[in-house]
Amino acid sequence: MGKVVGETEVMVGSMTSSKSGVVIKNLEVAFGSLEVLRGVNLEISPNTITALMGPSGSGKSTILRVLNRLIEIYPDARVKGDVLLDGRSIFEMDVVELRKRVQMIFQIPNPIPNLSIFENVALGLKLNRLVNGRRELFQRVKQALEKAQLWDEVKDRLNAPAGKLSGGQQQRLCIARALAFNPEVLLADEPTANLDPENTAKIEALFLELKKEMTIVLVTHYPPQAARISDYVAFLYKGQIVETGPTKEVFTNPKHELTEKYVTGRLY
Amino acid sequence: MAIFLVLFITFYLLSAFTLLFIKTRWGLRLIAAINVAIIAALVATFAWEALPLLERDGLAVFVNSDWDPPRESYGVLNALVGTLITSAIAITVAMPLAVGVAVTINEMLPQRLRGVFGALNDLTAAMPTVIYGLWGLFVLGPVLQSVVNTVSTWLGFGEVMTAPLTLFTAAILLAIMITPYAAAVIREGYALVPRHIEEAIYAIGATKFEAVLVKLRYVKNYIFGGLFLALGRAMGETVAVAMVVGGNFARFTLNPFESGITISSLIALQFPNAHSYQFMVPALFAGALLLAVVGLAINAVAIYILQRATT
Repeated sequence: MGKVVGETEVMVGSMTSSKSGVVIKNLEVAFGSLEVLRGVNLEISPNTITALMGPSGSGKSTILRVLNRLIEIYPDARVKGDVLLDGRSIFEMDVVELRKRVQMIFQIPNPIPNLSIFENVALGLKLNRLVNGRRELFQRVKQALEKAQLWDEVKDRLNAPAGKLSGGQQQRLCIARALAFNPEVLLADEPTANLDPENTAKIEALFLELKKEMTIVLVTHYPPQAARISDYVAFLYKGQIVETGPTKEVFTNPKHELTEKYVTGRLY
Repeated sequence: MAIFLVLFITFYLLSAFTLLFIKTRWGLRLIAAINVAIIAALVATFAWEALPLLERDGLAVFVNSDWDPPRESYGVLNALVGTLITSAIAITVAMPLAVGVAVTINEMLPQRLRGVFGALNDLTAAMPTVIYGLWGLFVLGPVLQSVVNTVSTWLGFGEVMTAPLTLFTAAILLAIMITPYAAAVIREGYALVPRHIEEAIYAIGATKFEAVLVKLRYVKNYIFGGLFLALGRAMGETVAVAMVVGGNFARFTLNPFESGITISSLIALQFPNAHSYQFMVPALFAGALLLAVVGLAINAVAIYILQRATT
């Protein structure tokens, strides 16, 4: 653990503490008696894509669910440690406020299937009273769908149920739903795991575009994806961070044996 | 009984023949034919038994509200209206209660108490109805009377509920009886909201209350299905209603705060001495026919809604 902490401290020094960076301090999470995260320290710089990669069960998705405190809907989850957003502990913030700023995209595209395409994007805005009047709501929904590159495909059937869309479209709808908030941080939990290569490419290109406006934390268990689009990577194994650093460095010159095995496809 | 058997065999052969044209397994055809035949034979038996009165009065028995055995004049309209009034009030009261019970058990209670209260709820749904009737007779009736009269006096209407046993008493008792039943169905649907949908709802900044509303909307077919099943039960419920409804056969009333009668309680209360009259047995069977048809229709709607919910 000591070595890992040392490395993250090197990163701290090299980073500016500007807007919407995330600092994870000594994070421990357990579900009942199962320890999922055992002391994770990580700095995520603003306007970058940071990829969390690692085998199944290494705790990647759990980190994301702490960052927007979605972990709290799991009754048996216990969280220790701290997470700072812009230097403020997220655990001291109002949870709804936090989730407005930190949006999330999931592995299984999860629009609410009985609501219309429009409603799926509009619901969060309406619940949080972020818009005044129908016209502004429509504008915000339209912008979000355009940003997620879905508008042209759905503009003629905004009132159709979201469940009727294809998998790739549903995932872009979920991205639109998240973008409608103009979030500071976007959490993406293996967003392309269930998609075909074409939709995967679309979403990866979109992320590269989006990082100009927000900080993106991407969970993937597919190293080539991390290599393609991320600026920084953190490699997790059994609830601990084994190695972090700029993507290029970690992939070309991994310091840890496990990391090397993983990025070369010999560890799943 | 002989009539039932004859009709059953007839309908069995008929439906078995019809089912030959539906592509399915032989065993399924057999069982489906038995089910269809039982229901059809039951309804046909009621019609057969009601025939003497139907021949005498035509369909007037269904639109006549007069129930006067000494003059051999029978109409089930009063009872039909009583059934409709009590079940309408019952379902209106039970709907928010059932949703509330389901949400309370599935969302508000601490995890380890949910199982206990869920089981308790299911247990109350299965309790013998005569127990509810007894409680309604001795506790609910008098309490309701004083509560309703206090409220109506305060509103300036005077004492509207003149007796403890009225259609309203029956309706409230029914509401209490069907609430756990509907709640059990709603709870089942509520538990089917997938984890990833629940995460989506919270991730867009919904408060717990808002999340509950969105989830209820997601399972709305279960809510309607459960309420329709409960409605079917409310319309058919006999013993408990007969004990608290007041038993006013003769006078037509639309006022729920008066003593009244429902179809099922009419049958239960009048059957013991029905054979002393010439046309009362057919009249009661006419009521049974009406109840069976309405009940079948309501259950069919409920099953249709629930099936749409699962596909």
